[in-house]
Amino acid sequence: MYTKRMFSQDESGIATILGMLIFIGVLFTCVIPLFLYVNQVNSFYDRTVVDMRQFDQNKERERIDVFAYPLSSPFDYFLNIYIKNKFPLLVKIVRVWVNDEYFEPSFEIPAMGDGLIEHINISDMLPGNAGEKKSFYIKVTTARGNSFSSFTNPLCYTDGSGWSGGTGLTIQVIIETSKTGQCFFCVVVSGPPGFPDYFANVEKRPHESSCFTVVTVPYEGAYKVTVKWETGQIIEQDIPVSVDLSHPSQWVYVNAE
Amino acid sequence: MRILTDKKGLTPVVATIILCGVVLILGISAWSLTYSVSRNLQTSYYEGIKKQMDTISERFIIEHIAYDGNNLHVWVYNYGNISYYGGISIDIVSASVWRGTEYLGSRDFRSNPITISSADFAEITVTIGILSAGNELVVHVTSGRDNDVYQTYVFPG
Repeated sequence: MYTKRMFSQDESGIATILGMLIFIGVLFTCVIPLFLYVNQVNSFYDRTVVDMRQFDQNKERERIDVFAYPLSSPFDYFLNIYIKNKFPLLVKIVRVWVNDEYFEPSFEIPAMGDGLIEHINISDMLPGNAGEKKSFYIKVTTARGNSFSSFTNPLCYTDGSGWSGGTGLTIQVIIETSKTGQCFFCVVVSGPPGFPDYFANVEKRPHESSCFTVVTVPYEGAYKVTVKWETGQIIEQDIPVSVDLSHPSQWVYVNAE
Repeated sequence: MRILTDKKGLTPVVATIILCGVVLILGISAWSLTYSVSRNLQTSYYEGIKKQMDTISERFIIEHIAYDGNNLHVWVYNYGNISYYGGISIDIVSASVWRGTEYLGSRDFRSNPITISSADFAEITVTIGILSAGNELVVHVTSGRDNDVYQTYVFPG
């Protein structure tokens, strides 16, 4: 009798232990991994949300100044685009739009730095009939999805008389050189009474062939532009520039050899 | 010889083996079912979340609009690209053009969407007819994930 009861208890005991082991197995191989997996996926989702928020913030904060300018004749079918990056991260330019045509220079500007996109050929867009006039609107698109228009928009080209245009009273000084390596220039603009002399230091980078600065002037009148090497040696002195409302934006080309 | 003839002790042993076998079979079946269900749950949960992540990661703009006298050309740029997540392609399923509340034209690509890879762009052409100088248009582009972008365009004449 005792032996029979003992066997009966053992049977249910072994089955209980097996059942418990299987239950624990299910817990550790199915339920807990599922729980951990769901947590991991949720973390991934949260990280994506945070990263996209950061991505959008960077897009909102991205700021660059764009100045498009044509080269002097006979290369006046080339546009150069000077870009000043005012954003503390690298900015990548993916496209340059000139009116409804685009160019893909794939150009990068370091944080808070500047750069020059050179020799955008618009020869097929220039008017071909004598006296015909055409306006050009230039904008650039960045990899973050922002578009920035050139401050010198619109650039106007008249067949026979060349480039003019830009809004506001400005003098654009373009220094072209065939010298390789880094060069520094000093641009001095003097003008009518009441206009203090304006000094600007301009850098040409080693891989570039020209550099650019814009001087905004407050009044109409006769101005003079002097361009020097960094050492003080004069390249061109007292170039006369007349700025008035009919010619609000003047281009000055200086060849530094 | 006595063992072979003493059958009283054999029944509990056989019963124990059968009971354990039944418990094992039922347990393994339950474990197998639970494992299969949990794997399916994992997959479907990830797919659901991935779909939401793709939706919130999708970024595109109308980069440029041009008018050629009858058609409006719209360039759409897919700029959604973050390093660890990688870029995702977008499917453009429709583009429509409005002048105020007046509908001018649209294109529906639902049957054959325009796919734009990450960091790439594509041109969409919508026939809208004749415009007058100063007309202000609203261009609306929709992606396959139901994200929208709008852009205004003033026809300069």
